[in-house]
Amino acid sequence: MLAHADDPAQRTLAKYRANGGYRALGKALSRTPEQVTDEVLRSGLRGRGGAGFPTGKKWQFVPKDSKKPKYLCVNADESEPGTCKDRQIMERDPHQMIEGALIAAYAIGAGACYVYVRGEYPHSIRAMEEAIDEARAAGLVGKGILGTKFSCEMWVHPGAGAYICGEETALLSSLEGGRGYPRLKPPFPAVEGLWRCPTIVNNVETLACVTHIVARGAEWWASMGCSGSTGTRLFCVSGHVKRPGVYELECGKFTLRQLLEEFCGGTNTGRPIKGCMPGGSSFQVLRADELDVRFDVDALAKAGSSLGSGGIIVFDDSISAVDVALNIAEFYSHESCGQCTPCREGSDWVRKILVRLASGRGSKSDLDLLWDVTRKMDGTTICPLAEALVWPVQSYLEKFPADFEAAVARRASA
Amino acid sequence: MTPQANVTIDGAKVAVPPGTNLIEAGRRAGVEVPHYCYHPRLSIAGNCRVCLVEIEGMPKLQIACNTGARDGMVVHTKNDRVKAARAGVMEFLLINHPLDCTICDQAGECKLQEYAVDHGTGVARFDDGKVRKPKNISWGDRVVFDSERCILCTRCVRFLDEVAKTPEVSIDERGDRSSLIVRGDGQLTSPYQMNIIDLCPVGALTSRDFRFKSRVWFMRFTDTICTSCARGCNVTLGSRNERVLRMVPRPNPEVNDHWMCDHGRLHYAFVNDESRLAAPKVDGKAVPYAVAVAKAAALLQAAKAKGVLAVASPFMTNEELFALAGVCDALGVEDRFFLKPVGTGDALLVHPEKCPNARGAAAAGFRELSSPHPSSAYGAAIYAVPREGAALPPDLLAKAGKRVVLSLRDHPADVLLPLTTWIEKDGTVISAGDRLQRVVKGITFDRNLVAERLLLERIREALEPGFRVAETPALAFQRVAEAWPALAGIGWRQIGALGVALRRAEVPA
Repeated sequence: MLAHADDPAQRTLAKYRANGGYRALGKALSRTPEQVTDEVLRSGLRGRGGAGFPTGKKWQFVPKDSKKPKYLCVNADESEPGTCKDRQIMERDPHQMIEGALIAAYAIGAGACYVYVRGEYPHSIRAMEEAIDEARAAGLVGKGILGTKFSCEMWVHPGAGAYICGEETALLSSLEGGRGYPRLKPPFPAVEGLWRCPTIVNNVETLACVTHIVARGAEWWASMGCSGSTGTRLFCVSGHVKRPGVYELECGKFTLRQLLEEFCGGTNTGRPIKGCMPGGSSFQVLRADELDVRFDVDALAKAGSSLGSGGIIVFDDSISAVDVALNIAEFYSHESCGQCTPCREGSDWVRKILVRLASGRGSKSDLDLLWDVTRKMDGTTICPLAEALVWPVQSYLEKFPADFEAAVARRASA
Repeated sequence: MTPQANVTIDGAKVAVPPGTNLIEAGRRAGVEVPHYCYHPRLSIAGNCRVCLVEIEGMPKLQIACNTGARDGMVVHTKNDRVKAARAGVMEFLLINHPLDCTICDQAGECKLQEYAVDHGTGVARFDDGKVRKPKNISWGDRVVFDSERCILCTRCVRFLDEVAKTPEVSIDERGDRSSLIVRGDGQLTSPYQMNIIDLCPVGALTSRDFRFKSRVWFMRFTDTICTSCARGCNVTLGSRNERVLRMVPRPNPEVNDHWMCDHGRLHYAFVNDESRLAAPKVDGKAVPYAVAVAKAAALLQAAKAKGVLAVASPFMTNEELFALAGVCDALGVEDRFFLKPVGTGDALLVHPEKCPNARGAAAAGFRELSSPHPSSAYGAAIYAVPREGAALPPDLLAKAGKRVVLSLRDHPADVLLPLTTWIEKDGTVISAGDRLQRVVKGITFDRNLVAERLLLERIREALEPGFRVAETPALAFQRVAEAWPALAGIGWRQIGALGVALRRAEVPA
């Protein structure tokens, strides 16, 4: 995916085509939609937005007999703290995503595709608009694509600055012009999504992968990575490391420690690593002694965390876990959409307790309260934003108890 | 036969149509699942989370409002896991709530109070500053909003979007800063806006009309109907010290569903008007009822040869209309009319006939009086003035030599008899859609007032020796039911709180 990322001309259709672009689309259109879906299914591709659901399987949920129009939505609302990979695709090599989107639209029978781009990504929005315009002018988007009967329109829709709109049903609400509120499931978007029509929402990177899978075959893709995490994947490393950035790597072929110490050169402060969020801020933290975990979807799930959206944030031992937890709580309480009671009220309560602890005004009972309040938010809401706050906060409490006790002691000694 | 899903809820087995949500299925099984945002006539929002229940085979708790019954489903609504989650939701709802029940109109009928007792822990653990939001916000002349009390269930938003079709309330900001706002200039325009006060499960939306008038537990409640138009919306009328304080809709799927219009709801000031006519008058002087009744009978009897005109009011009950028709029979009156006030209706509830019982008037043999008025002159006339003292047309009054007038307010007449309002008597009316409904006595405005049915029957008694006054409303109704084909076979008790549908063919047009 990043093969041509450093070539500024790769953004143009001419260069993309010169590098073999849009051949996969032609190949897909010469097959049946079922064959295309089957190819993606066999590749073992799992969604790159965070939940890791098998992409081909998701496509199969679109009802074949529905008379309603079908839609493809590209989730380009990349808002997870620590995650900045989709942006690289959109700004450096956008056509591979457009090509993947057209293939996906063909596979699910969608005649329209909306690219929902994070509002704070003006460069991505412009890059996508330019690329789509160029593709449309070349007959790759619109009516009768590549001389076939397949037609698909494509529009860019800028978000308005809400993290929650990266949640696929909130994205649909926002796209329709409503508040960015996640929707109740069932019905699932594949059955009743945009404008109550069957809709598939795929992440930018997922669709870029589709292009390569169709171009070079499911077997080739599955030969990379490991079982359960096939192919290559983009990782975004930030925080206290010498070489932060976006890395394309085969899953399962290295450990988290290797990634941080070998590829990224260890901490940039010279101090030891204290902890690391392996999949964006919304999953459980791993301590320095837990970094030998093999880096793939299933191994991380087994380790009690998640690969999430591939955003890896590292912090050294100068950082208090209380401050990290507070930072996370501040983000999620600010981003809670306010729809469900436990998240709306609970997230800011958690933040307030952490503010007290971080400022030396917390007491021992606050730690019990934190546990209890976070447990009552867990699993009681429409969407996973509450868990995105609760799981990491609980993991800091569990894995760095000394930091929290020190915060309580500061009050006692004051 | 439609397929049924057999569901077990807290051990109780119930068969419901598949897909029935678990709150409704629970109702049928006798299990109350607490809820705030759910309302049977609004779309499912699923945001309050207080209806979380455990379903065997599903790892996470599910909201009952958005879970359809499937055959074989086993549901737990009271186990420890559910109780803990529910107590958690209650605590979350209360941490930023102002807890100003002492001065809140909703107190006594507040779901937050109720569930805090039934499902809360009774312990406060929140030590931090509450979120401050706007209070005492005017949403126009009818609704007042308190954002701190609001639990953001969005019932009001959905009602205005989905039922009233005037989408004018939405949510501003997000997270715990969320607050309702009225779009545009901040003033509601819907003629049904006050329904959001009833829908609001807490004290966030209050009625400017009712605010601070009474603690609800000091009020008396009467299940009756609204008489502002022919719809006959079912209402619960709240009164205290024999004065009406408010009306709220009472659900009746056949008539008004769960709603009523603001006009009808606010149309009761004439009941409480202290300047109402409180005693009969003869030649402008107050007299005892017996004197007025004797005088009216004598006056009408004397005019019999020259002809008598009768003008009924479509605000009268069937029993009153029947009694007036009886007086007409005793006098051999041929010209029997009623005046029907009309206006505009709408697609939801408001009916163009601005009276409750034009159908009853027609059934009693009165004809709708339209211009030009009857051309002949009469020796005397008996008029019932449509309520609120709307004066009869002068040319109509001028037709008669002597006038017996029944009126709510003072009126020129030879004999003037006070009317009472619908909330002061028991009786029946025939509403739009040919539905027989009851009006129910809720207040005694003045202990000296005598209901007009009795007055009319006493006049008849004076004119027709041997006639007996019906002592009870049930007896009076029975006489009407025996006389009118449309009501044949219907008993007083059978009418009930929701009324009965009449056979259309037999109701006079």
